[in-house]
Amino acid sequence: MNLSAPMNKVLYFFCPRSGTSHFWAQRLSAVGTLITSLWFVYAILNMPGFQYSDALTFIAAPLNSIMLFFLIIVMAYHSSLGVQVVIEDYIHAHKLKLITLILSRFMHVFFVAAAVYAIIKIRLSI
Amino acid sequence: MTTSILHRATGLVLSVGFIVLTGWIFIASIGANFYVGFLEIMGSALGRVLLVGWSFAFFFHLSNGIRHLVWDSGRGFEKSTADASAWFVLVLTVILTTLFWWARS
Repeated sequence: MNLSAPMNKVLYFFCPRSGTSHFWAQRLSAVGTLITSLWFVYAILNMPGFQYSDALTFIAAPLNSIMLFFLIIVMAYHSSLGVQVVIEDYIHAHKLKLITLILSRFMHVFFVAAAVYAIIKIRLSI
Repeated sequence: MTTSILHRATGLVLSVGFIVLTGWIFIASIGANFYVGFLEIMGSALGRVLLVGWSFAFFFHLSNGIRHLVWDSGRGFEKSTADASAWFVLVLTVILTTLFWWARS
């Protein structure tokens, strides 16, 4: 019995030799997310409240807006890599898999762009 | 064990939570009226349940993620150690989630 996958199938479904870089990206973005989200928990616990003015004051504070940039970007990257693995593992139909992967990437970029735009807008308007 | 699939599940839950996080910032940038609506939704019974769920998922993914990083370094793979760390992660998650909401209240 031959246990190895035929080469044409491997090349059709996977990007060869991209595994190691994905592994490292996943781990490094995990550490980045860990650090920035611990800051976020600390920051949330120290917010006086969540009313409109509280939110604007919080987001516009210089250190907070920079940390939020880091948090949003590194978290989106980590999330994108994670969702990618889940899609690759559970969706087997080739076309659907491809569409879902692309959609996931686009959505992650979209939400990062929206948040970055909003932070800059709030920072400049206060 | 069960923690493996829970890591994936909480990861997906947190991906949705990420949308709410960016939504919070974005809605704050477009005006007070929208923001009040957002607060109303998140302050409702369903919103509160979701927030507690997200905090639970967050603390689980955080603690179990550290467990995974330790595994990546080649340590903690013995059956007894892995079982013990799984329980440790679960208990730690409950404690951290409780502490978080206690500190926030």
